[in-house]
Amino acid sequence: MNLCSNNPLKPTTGPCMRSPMISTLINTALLLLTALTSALSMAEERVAVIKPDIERSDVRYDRIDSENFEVTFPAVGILSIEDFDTGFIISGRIGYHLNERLFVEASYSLSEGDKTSFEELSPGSTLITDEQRDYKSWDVSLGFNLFPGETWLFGRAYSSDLYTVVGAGRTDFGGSTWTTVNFGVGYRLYLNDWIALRFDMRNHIFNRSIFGEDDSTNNIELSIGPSVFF
Amino acid sequence: MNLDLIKHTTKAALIVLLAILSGWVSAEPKRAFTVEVVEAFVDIRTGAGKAYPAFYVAQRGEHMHIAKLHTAWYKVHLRSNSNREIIGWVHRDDIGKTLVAGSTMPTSEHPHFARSFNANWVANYALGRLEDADLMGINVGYRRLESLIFQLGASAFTGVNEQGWMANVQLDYQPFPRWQVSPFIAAGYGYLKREARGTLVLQEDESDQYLIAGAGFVVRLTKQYQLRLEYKQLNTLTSTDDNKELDSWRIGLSTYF
Repeated sequence: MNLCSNNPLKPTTGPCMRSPMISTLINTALLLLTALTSALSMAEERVAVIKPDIERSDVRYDRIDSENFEVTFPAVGILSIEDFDTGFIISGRIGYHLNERLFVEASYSLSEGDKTSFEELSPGSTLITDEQRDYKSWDVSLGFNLFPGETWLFGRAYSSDLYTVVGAGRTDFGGSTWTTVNFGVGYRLYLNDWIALRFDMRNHIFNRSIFGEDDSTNNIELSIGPSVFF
Repeated sequence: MNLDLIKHTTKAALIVLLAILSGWVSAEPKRAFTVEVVEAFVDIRTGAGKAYPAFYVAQRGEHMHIAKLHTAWYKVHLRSNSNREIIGWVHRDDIGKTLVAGSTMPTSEHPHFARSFNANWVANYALGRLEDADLMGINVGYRRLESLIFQLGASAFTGVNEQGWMANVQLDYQPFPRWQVSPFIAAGYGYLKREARGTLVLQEDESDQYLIAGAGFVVRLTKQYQLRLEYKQLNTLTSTDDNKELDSWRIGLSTYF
């Protein structure tokens, strides 16, 4: 029920009639409210006037590609196993470059021991089984770029490193496993930022007792292979 | 000569070659990160190392586009004042003297560069002994609060009668990290797997878990490298009633990266 209907036919009497005092109060309240909101909006504007002096750019950049891993595969070459014929060797290496000088590298190599000198001299004799001639070896080595620099080839300068490696690992050969120490030198020629050609010469030293007595053997590997940085 | 070996090699080589080629195709230039030189000058070198000659000097106000990172070196492209295209390498210390182009933010504070400017990771390569077996191990650690290093390690050992490998997690506490010779204590947990060598029969469990208590010294050799000497006692939790203690020591080279 609307007591204060605006129907002109109905006289405004009784509880609906506004006393002048109430209407003054309402008017004052409205006035105050207007003043307040306008003041508030002005304040807001004032806040908006002082913009922070930071450029919020929405530019998104791609992550910066870091190329510290190096994979060398396949490194192929020859391995001269002591007392055996020189054979083919294939290695895979994965390394991480810690800084411009130092890198850590794990290698895995496969080869095969051919006939021993004794077996060649006395045909028909066999000292170890064919299975035992399989040569498997892995190592983890520390590499140090001794002479990083440039190599001139075909009238162009290519970056290159001459490095040394020292490491340890294991060799499976002759039916048993031997702790192996390896050291060597290598040369890395960068064809561009992330492809290089590597030449490695390493000596794998292990004590073995295949032929009875304990022997320290030197097994020299020469290999070449491409490497990729990623 | 083993024909199979050659065949497998060729196959693997082809796969690698394909991978390289596909990488080449997808290695399209993207939106490069651009920085502005704010110091007097920045050296640009021909290669990623101090041994390479500086062939250009970028001056204050010049913009450099960053292509990639190799160890502590950023590869940059820029246009010289004589409109020559310059491509070279800038050390991260020099990148630290630039601002992100078009802003007032130092490049080193940009999240893309956080990893490069906070060398909290440490790598260690060590050789040593575990009882009477030869030991070779690598560790990767993360440094927190300067004196705590959280480490993950793997090592292999070869003894007279047995051989195997170990993996462990370890926490080092180095109370005086700035000392030239800084002592540390370590505690951790690991897993050991062993097998008999040759025709011998294994006397112990094939695998054991163990607790580590250790101590040692870190000797600062140069600004970058440290020598780490460590003694550890591995308390193996054997399947029998009494636990077995194994002594291990190692000497290694560490570097932050």
